[in-house]
Parts: sequence; structure tokens; C-alpha cells
Amino acid sequence: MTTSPITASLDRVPDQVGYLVMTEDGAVMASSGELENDEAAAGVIMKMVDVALRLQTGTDKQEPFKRLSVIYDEHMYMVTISNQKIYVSKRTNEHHEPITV
Amino acid sequence: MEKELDKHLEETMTTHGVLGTMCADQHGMCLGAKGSVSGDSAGMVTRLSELAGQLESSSEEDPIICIESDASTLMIKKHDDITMAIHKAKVPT
Repeated sequence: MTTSPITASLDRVPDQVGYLVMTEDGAVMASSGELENDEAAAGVIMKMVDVALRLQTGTDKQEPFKRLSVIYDEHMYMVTISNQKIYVSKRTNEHHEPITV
Repeated sequence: MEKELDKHLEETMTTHGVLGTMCADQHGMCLGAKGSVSGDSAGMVTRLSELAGQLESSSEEDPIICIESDASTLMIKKHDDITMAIHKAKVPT
């Protein structure tokens, strides 16, 4: 899809292999890499955001979540909401070797 | 079994920074809850782990789900038919 100011900053996320930008009603505004045109992932993530928001209001905390992450061994999905848009970034899960001195 | 589970939940609560913990079965029924995580959230926690499984349906792995806010993180992980949630403070108290 096209590059816009919204996605320009997403392109700079380190270790990223794909991203999605969605409106609050789940419409995909932009997508790239492994998440390009991935409507199925967009649909599942929208449902997860919906449940996570309800889960938050169900607790004593009033603030919405800052980040929702789905972490696998090799990669992860990071979801955040900003300016009525849902940003999803798929990143590789880097296993850093311990520093030996 | 309930006593055993209760003991495990109690043990988890003693970990530094843990504010609450909860266990639910595959139907979203709460099996036990301690501290800040209410048993009422069992259905939503189970639903989240179920949805995370649909994200990569070809994967055998059950991912960890983290819901982060400024002050705390709720971590959810499914293991077999049991889903466990741990609510942890960002800055351990």
C-alpha cells in the first residue's frame, strides 16, 4: 500500500517484518510485509483489542491499555491505539546472547 | 485438586511485584482467583487466549499475551486446557 506520514514512522521500527494500520471499526488503512492485506489477522486483532478494552474497564484501573503484545518464541505482534487508529507491528523476537566480560 | 491449585496461586502471589493471579478452564470458568484479578474476568481472559490461538492457527505454540498499562501488566498464557493470568506491577513493590 502507499507510504504516508502514518506509516513512515512504522517503517523505522527495528526488527519489524510487517505492520497493519486500522481504523477503530477494523478497516485496514495500510499494511506491509508479512501482514500485507492480511484481513484475517486484522479481524482477530480487532476482536482481541475489543476484549482487552473491556477487560481493562472490568478492573479498578480506568486507563486504557498502552500496549497489547502477543508473544511467540520467534516473533511477536505489538498493538497500540493512537488517535483513533490501531497500529499493529509484527517483529522478530531477537534472542540476545548474554555479554561475557 | 482445588487445594493444590489454591496453593499454587498463593505461591504465585508471593512472587515480587505480583498483584493478582487467576486460573480458568477452557470454557472460561474461573478455577481460582487471588488479589487484583477478579474471577469475573475469567471469560474475557479465556477468550483472549482463544483469539491469540486463531492469530496463527497453523502454529502449535500457545503465545503469551501481555496487556500493558502505565502502572501494570496483565500476562495471559494458555497451557493445555487451563488459562492463567498474572497481574504484575510495572515497578515491583
